[in-house]
Amino acid sequence: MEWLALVMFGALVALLLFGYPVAFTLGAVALLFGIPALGVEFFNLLPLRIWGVMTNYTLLAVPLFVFMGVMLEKSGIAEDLLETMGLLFGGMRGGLTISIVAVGALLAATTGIVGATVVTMAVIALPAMLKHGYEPELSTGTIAAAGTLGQLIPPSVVLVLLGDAVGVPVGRLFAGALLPGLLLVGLFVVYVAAYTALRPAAGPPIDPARLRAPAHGLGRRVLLSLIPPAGLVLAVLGSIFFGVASPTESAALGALGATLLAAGHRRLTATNLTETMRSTMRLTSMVFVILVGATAFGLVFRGLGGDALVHRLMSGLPGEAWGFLAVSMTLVFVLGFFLDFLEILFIVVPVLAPIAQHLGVDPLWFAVLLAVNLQTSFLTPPFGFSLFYLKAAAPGEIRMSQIYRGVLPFVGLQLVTLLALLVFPALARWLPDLVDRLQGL
Amino acid sequence: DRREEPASTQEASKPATKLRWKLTTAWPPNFPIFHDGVTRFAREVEAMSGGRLHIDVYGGGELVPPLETFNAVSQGTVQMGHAAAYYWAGKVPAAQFFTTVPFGMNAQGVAAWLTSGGGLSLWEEIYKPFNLVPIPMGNTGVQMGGWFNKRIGRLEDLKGLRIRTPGLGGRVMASAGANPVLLPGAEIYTALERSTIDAAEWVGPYHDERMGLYRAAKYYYYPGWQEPGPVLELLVNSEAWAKLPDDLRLIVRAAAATVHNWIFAEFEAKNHEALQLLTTKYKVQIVPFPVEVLRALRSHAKAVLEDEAAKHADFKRVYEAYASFQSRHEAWSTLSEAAYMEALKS
Amino acid sequence: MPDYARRRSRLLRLANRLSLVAEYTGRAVAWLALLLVAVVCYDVAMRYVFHSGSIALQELAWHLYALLFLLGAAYTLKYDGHVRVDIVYQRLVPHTRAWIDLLGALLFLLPLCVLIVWTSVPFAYQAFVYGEGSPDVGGLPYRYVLKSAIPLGFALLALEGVAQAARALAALSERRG
Ligand code: NA
Ligand code: NA
Repeated sequence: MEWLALVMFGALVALLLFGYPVAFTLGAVALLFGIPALGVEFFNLLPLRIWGVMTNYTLLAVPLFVFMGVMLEKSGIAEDLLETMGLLFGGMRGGLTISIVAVGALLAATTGIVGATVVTMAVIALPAMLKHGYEPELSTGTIAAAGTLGQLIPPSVVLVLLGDAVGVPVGRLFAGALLPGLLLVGLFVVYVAAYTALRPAAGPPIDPARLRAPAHGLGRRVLLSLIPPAGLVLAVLGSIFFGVASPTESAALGALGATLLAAGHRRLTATNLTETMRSTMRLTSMVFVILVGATAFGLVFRGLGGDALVHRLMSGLPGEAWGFLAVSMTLVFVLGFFLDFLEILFIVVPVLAPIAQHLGVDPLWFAVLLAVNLQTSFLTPPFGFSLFYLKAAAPGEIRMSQIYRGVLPFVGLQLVTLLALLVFPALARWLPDLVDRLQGL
Repeated sequence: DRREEPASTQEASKPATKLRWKLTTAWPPNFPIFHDGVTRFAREVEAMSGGRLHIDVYGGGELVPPLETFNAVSQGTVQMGHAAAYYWAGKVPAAQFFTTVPFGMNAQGVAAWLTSGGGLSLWEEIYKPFNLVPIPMGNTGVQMGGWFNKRIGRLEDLKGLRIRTPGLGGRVMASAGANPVLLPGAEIYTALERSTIDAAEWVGPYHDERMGLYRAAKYYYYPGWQEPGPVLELLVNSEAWAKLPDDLRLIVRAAAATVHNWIFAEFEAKNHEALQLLTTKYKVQIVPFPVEVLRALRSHAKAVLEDEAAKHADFKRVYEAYASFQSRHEAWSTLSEAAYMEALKS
Repeated sequence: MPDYARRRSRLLRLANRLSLVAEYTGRAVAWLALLLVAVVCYDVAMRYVFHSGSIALQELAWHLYALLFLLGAAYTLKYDGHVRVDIVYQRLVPHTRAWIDLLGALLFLLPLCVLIVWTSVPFAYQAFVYGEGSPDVGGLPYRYVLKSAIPLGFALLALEGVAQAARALAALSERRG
């Protein structure tokens, strides 16, 4: 029966290409394979899993962040903000993409909920970037990649779960993932700067003639359009970062703040408010219905013994450290094309961790390697959650093929980071060891 | 290591039917001691039955979410589960007594109640409408009071304290003025480290050390008044159980009893090692709750339990049985356990 | 009016009438987004200003978000908000796209909805029979209300799926004319 699990992946990829919504294709493939092989009875477990998605209150921050983003967008505040930033940086090429990476890194340092960060950044920034002639591939790739940084940059639930599975204290792992995360941010910045330098048309400077609102004096714009919303976003992020409030609480205050800002600009019209609520609902529903489809797929994958199949694939792993690392990292990377990171984590890590320990591979280093690898899985076509979220939040003219093309260079940069980590384990070890020494542990 | 698990033995001479069951747990996959106990149970059943009963073990979230273990076994799609009865407080409020309650009995007392004091038959009766047969399989021993970033010197220090402690313990804390917070296990570390919460309770020294909570909080309080001896449960779907041949049922019970002892022993052994590590290597400040605070919490606990008893008939019935056994047992354990512990100090 | 045109307009009328359900439930459910913001802000104010937290309010927040995404799923489908991998789809002529939407609705969406409704009704009913509430003391009662949102949400989704199929059929009969 296990081979069926493999066929199921093939069928999923083939059927996804027809273009029927991802969520329902996932669910239908689960039914198609699950009912004949496991019986209808087996699906009595499905509502239990859906309930698991409903009760996952970590994800509560998603609708709240999205509300904030949509409100800023519908009221035109987001566009004014981005245009003012663009004007401020004057002739700087690709200025907006660099800002996106910076904001993504800040968001990453406060939360790690990819659905929230990707959708919010796409809603706020993408329309303005496209309007001012930014290349769609570059814009979408940057937003998807920057919005996914939160998996690696602490705090992050992935790191907590990895730490538990591998047996590294969470604090050490948080410290260990920080430098690789910053390296990734640096690579992203260098990449978008180099790209826009080489292809100026991909990230043109803001053209004052195409501003949403007529340009008053720059000082007045900064005062009215830049400082209040930027202050709001920074206040939200700061309050999470410094532990004043949890991500959910800060996101709700951010949503309230965005609403008040819109009111202050006299743009809190009935239309804007209802549009904001409905868009928030649509985007939230999109995110979670995909999770429902994915959970149906995961259930059947388990039922068919797909985990045993993966375990058997791993039983042939080389018996020395480097071969083991090469093969296991490749395996995780390939699984990332098809599987959700949680499924990968649950299926693969319990088997890999003891082998790594047996071969004398440093568990901290190994966990950071896995974290970089798992983060990449959000970005790899065809099944990358960040790509789906971005597609749904992007304006209608953006195509999935553009997103796939746009994200590939960033997947490449993720792999560069992975290689750098393999070659220089100190990237993961240096900071936690330093922190331990300072704390006298 | 899963690869070393024995494959189900293929003995052609045995005409008996081979059963393949699923067991799902309320623990993260590979959660030390908890999950180890369950895989040990599956191995023992397999070996003792000569491969006639094979059990596939699924960690929490692998097949169904951890807290859906009850439903999955109750409907019978999965034949077995391993969890703690107090997770089902929303469905069966009385079930909490079969795990632990604030200021309830310790492992020794609760074992006496379940095995020889009528507790287990009460438990079986309470679970019957849900198509479940409960079998005790493990006890963690007394847990710790939790990790705090604020000193609790007197009762007033609990006022407004943002604490993550689920269930009845949380309710008692709330009635003492604290501010309970809902938080999944995976977020405890971050919330403590960033001071989104002031205190949190997880398991005990061994699991807490593993999560590295000593890096996020300064004080480690004891005793674990809120969980003085939590019992872990093996759940079996009653229809599947009824169809099981007598000898296999005995085998399941025998394996569960062995693993019950194993889990308890592991906790006692690993916790004391971890405690030493926490105090010597990580210099954690281990602090007792002041007597005044414990006394107040105990009276709040009594009020909370009576409040619940007033609301649910089953809860009241089990509460009375439990409390009566506890008070009678206390007279003896004061002379035995407690007096001996005192003697050791002298 | 020729036959195909009459059939086409009948199908469209049917689709539009069915879609009214998704439209109006969606508009109503969207208010939960605003309510969610209000509930969490209120909880934050209570917690940080008055130092009193409430498990019930914290639970209400995730109850609202679960209702929002389940009951809003049909509305989202109506506005084509469920993401597609449109690599091939975007290059297809409208006729072929209509075929995909028709077959997708009939073979993918509807069976999935039927199965979820079928299995989740007993799931919700059990919660009703056992009077299930929150496992946390001080949490919200009536878990069956929330659990009923699973079959309700997917029934609404199925209805909108039928509308999608009818719309696709209408588009297909247009071609023939
Ligand atoms: Na993060
Ligand atoms: Na992927």
